[in-house]
Amino acid sequence: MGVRLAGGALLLALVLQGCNSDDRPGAGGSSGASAGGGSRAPDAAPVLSMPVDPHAQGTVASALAADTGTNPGCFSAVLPRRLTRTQFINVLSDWSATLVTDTGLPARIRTLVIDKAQFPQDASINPETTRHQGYWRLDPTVTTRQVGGIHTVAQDLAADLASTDARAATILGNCTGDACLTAFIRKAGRTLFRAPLTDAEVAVYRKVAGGATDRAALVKVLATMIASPQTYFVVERGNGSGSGACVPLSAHELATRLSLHLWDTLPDATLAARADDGTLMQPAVYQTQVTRLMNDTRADLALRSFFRQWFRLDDLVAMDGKVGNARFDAFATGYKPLGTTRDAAIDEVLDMVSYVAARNGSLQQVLTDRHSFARSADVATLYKTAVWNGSGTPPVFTETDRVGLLTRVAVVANGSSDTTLPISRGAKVLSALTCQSLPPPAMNQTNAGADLSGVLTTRERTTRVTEMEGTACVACHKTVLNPWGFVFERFDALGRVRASEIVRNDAGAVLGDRPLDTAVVAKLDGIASRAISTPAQAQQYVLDSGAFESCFARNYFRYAFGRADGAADASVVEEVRQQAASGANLRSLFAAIVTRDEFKTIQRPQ
Amino acid sequence: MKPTFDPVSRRQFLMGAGGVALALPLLPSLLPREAEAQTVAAASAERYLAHMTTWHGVLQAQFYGTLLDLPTATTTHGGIAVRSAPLPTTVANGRVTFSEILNASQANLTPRLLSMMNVINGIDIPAGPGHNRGGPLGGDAANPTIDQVLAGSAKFYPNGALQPAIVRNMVSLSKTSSGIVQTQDTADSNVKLFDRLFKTTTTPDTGSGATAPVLVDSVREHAALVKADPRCSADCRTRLDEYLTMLSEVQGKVQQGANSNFPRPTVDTRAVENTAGFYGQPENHAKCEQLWNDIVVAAFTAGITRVYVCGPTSYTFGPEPEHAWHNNYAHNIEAEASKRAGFSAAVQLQFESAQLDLARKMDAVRTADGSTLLDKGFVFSGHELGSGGSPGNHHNRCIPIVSFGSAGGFFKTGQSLDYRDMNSFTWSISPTSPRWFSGLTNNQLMGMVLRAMGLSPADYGGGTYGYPNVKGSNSYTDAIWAAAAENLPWLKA
Repeated sequence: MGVRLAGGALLLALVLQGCNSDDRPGAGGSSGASAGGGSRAPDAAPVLSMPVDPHAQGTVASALAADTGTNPGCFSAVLPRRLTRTQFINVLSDWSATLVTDTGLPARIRTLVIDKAQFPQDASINPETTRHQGYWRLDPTVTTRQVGGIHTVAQDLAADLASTDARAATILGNCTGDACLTAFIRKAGRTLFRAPLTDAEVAVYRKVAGGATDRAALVKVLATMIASPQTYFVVERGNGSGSGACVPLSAHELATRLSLHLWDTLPDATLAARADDGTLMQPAVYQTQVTRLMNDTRADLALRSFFRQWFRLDDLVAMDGKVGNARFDAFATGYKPLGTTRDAAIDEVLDMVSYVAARNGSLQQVLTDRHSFARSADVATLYKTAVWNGSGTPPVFTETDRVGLLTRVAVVANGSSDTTLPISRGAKVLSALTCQSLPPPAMNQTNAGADLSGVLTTRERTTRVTEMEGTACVACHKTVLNPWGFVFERFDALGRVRASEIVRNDAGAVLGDRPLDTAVVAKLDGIASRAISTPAQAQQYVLDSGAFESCFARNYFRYAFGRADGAADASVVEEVRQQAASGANLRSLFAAIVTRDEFKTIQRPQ
Repeated sequence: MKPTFDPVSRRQFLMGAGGVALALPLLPSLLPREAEAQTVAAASAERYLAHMTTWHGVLQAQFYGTLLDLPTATTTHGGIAVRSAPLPTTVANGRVTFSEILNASQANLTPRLLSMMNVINGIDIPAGPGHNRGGPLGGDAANPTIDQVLAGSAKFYPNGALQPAIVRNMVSLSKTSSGIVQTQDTADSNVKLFDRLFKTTTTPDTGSGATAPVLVDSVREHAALVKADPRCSADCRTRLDEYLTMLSEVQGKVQQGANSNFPRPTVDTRAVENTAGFYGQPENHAKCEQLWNDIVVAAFTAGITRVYVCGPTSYTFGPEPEHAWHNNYAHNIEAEASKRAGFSAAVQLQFESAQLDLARKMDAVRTADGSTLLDKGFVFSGHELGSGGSPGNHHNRCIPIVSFGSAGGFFKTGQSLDYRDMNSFTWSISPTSPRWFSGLTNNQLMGMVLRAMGLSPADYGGGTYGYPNVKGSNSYTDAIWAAAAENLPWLKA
């Protein structure tokens, strides 16, 4: 409960949203100078474009994308990237573990960063619209909230690490003197900054310590290191020279990029050693490291994070938000969602992803897998399966309509609602899962009111409101959006399979029991429209269209490079798509992008 | 230049009106009784801005009700005929009622508050963005919202501010080196906001008794080494410089010390939101807003900030969470009487329990110059859209706006102001639906608000077309745009 819907996925997302427009050239005539103060805005978080509402009448700024200049295939960040909050926590935890043995430290670091320092969650950036979730990695903004958080974390974590004289001595290496101090600075800094320190950098921290090796000096060094931009920012300079040139990353930069992408943290000792001795630049060694990283459990976490964001699973609001409401309780018919049901439903999807990945399953299997990964009774009840204990073979869905991803609770449920939201469901399939380009709507000027008299099903109500003849809404809603919601009307707002729709009034009293109509003519780009009426047919249509794989490719590119994809990225995206379409297993898909030259190089600015 | 702001000296002397103890749940025990060494002149010059965004739009009759039928004075402005009338002061059955939405108990909407209130019709967001973030506050793809203009203004904050603006939810847009971006929420809950503003957490023991283990100068030295590398691009250097500037400011604020006289809230809005059934409990939505208001007014009182903007989060003041609310209520206000009633009830709840609550609490705080925070404040609300309905017009004309406060006598109050051009475009109508008109621009109102806060047009981009200083499209005449730099009729005292 109380989920803060991130980024653009908040509020007002859907109903008649219809058609997200692509970025269009700005409208508007002459303009005076714009105000706005200085270049830094306190507490500012990024959107890469103005809200692209499907009913927007105005125009939007173009989404930022890397300027690939004259070197197609060689990419640079628009701004030097910085760690996401997750990465910041992981980096500090893993770094701390190299300094001191303290099993409680990771949890304390997490609490420190999120609760005490109130380090803000990254904005979920979708380059096409602020109304839908995107990726935390695309958030480039640094505001006083992050910086204030870094400051608090730096002083508190340093104090925690050196909480006693004995601990401080251990961190220092149980030695004193100049050599001791220098060795400690090099060791601690090497790990935290992801690269060996230069002599000049060592000198900075020797000065911080004032030449001392006592606890107070150690705290200052640790705190100042944490606050260094070399910790929070990922400054990539590459090897070689030349303005506008495409140059390889250094071994340390490559190791950092690799570990941040596959593990969301800094390189471990093995990867760091391969960077230090330079062998990481050898293809065979690099491939070995990639394989090693992908086989580590940390890669599974990063994989799950990607799919969570691609599938916009955080769209799901709390499931128990209407418990106690007469109409909801009557609808739920004895089922009571818990405060944890929402998170459990989301984890169920991610557990499916992990299961498929671990068995070298393909992207298509993510769509079609029919196991229930419900680890708690609340979700298992919705699936009418047994609870899975987390190991062994999970139970299989027994309901014919429960065909896979499109019908999992986290995807099809509406959360805290007793009525389905077919437009929301349609938008999930079209906008999130298949990356459809939806036509922009025009402002409706008919001012007509819908006739909602009678006992209507949700489909009927939605149709009467959004498909009124003579309105500006009908074209998109009737032919594009609504069908992808109506075809799943066999699932109620909790994600349960139903045979009919029981229409209730606000008191929960039954007004009617109406048959379901799930027959539609659906449309996806690049393939002929198709008459479908079941989730199985809908799923097959998605598979036949190839849109799921295409959408994966675009989204994974953004996730991997931390920026929007542009025209010059088309070849990379296409190759990823082809790999996905060929049925390659998820891990190889995930790993493939890091073996590309584009991942290992950087473009020097002009 | 680093701010010289000293929070300790910014406490303001408080007393209830007429010496009566303040009937506020939090403030009486919060506020220090000793007088503060702040000059009357400084106190008189300060202005306070608060804004609440309401998502979606409404039908005119729902919001304005009897105000639409008032006999009015008229004038011509921007080439169109506009109207004004005094707000009625009639009380019936213990309530002041203008419409389904604009009504409140007499105990809350007192004669004094009523005299400080304005209701404004006929203000359009001319770019017509439909659903938007920041539109009611003048923000768009190229311009930050006015809260951020004020937050970054040395004229508004001559001594800086610990927290230039308190922002909740997706209502504010900021200008950064990345472009116009959504302003991050200041905090996730009222308790966290309190902890951030009032620094009630302790400084860890660093073993030496020395302060500031983070040596910002050394951070700067290390950054200089990075920047000195010729491979560090201009963007890289800019980024590092911005970071260092912020780090210095953060360090400076830490060293200014904490104001710990205000007790920490005992009810956490996050805990309220996390209770089962929360989405179906509008009264708890209102409770959350009031908990936030307490901290905001405490922050105003302590001089920590003078700007607060918000919109509700995923709750709606109605019986549904946001997505279902949009589907089942916001777009059904024409088609179903019960949904119209439910929508009106939700917006009324936000009006009385959130906006009016904030205005009342501000009016209970008297500052060194003898005026209240509300006397020097402007607490206004605006809808994201002008219209609602089914299927829904999603236009941004006639944004419903209510305000409290005169901003130190800048605004004339106690009025119903109708800037609609009754001869403007008319949409196809059904016999039972109201017509929609266009009016004057939100740019004009925003410019006026910024001037009320003490800025001059040069401080907000020139102001030729108000704020943002952009002559947008959407069928507004040159005369209307020419008037955008002027004060709105009757609104200026």
